[in-house]
Amino acid sequence: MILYLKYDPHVTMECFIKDLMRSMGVPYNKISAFEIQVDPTANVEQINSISQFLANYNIEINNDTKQQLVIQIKEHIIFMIKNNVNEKLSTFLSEKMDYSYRYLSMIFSEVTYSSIENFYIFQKIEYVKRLAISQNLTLTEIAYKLNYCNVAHLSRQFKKTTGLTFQEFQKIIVGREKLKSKLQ
Amino acid sequence: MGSEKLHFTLVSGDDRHKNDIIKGISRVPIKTKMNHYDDCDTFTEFLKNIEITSYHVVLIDMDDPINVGMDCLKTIRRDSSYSDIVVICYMREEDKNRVEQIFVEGGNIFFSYPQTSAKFHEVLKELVRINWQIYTTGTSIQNLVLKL
Repeated sequence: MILYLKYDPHVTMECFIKDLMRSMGVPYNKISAFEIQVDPTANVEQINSISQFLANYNIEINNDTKQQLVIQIKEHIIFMIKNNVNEKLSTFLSEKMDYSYRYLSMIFSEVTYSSIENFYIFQKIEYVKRLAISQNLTLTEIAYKLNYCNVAHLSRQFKKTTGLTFQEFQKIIVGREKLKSKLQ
Repeated sequence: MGSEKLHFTLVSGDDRHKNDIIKGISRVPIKTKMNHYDDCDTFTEFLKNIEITSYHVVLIDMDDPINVGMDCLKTIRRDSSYSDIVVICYMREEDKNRVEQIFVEGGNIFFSYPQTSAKFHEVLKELVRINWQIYTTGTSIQNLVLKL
């Protein structure tokens, strides 16, 4: 029997790290998929043991400042999307991170070879797909949920990002589900 | 993100594609490693003997009569050990029904083989960039369906 899994990698990662910190008894203040804010009372041995444990899963502690900045940008963008923050991307990021948007854009492109806007739209469309699959929402419902001014705008953005219409995407997902059932 | 590479494997018996793709990908400023197999059987043998630890992308020539690209896609997708591999399929000319079948069978990205070298370079650059983004953000490839 094959068990097919559905999950959100960011939520999974967050749960994994929280469980790890609790099981190792390391005090922390905040955890996200990309960041652990270790409490100042934690000692060096505890931090080293986390680092060693994570290495078993190919997860490294990142000491490169540019990459840390990129990780924070991504984290804020994912927060914006999931929490429906209806603010201009550049204003939100520069206010949250205390750097000019121009500087953040430059660092982001240098490290990821992609623009912040591009990353934002890509992640937003990934979120649209997840909502369509996991909650069976229509494009109109998703557009409303994500504060789009109209469904046509989201529809165009979906097509531009994926090369497919939302209906074509849905047809493929239905086809995959049917195929899975047939193969079981 | 610093020292990692994207690992690309091309499965195509067409020498022109092999040269174009290997050369094109090496020009993109993201670190990549490229392998090539003429046919699906040799490629699946290779898969059986390696442990997929890095981000792995397979490009399949769907028009190749010897390789039978669709069978190759099915072989990869019906083995759960390869579920993290991103599968890119390409054809010389786009056929709507076949493209849909490719996606249903688990292909992640599709592109029509570009006619001009400028367009070809643009497509390869986009392919590498998209994969780098997926890799560095830990985006799940479960719902990854893109047509370039």
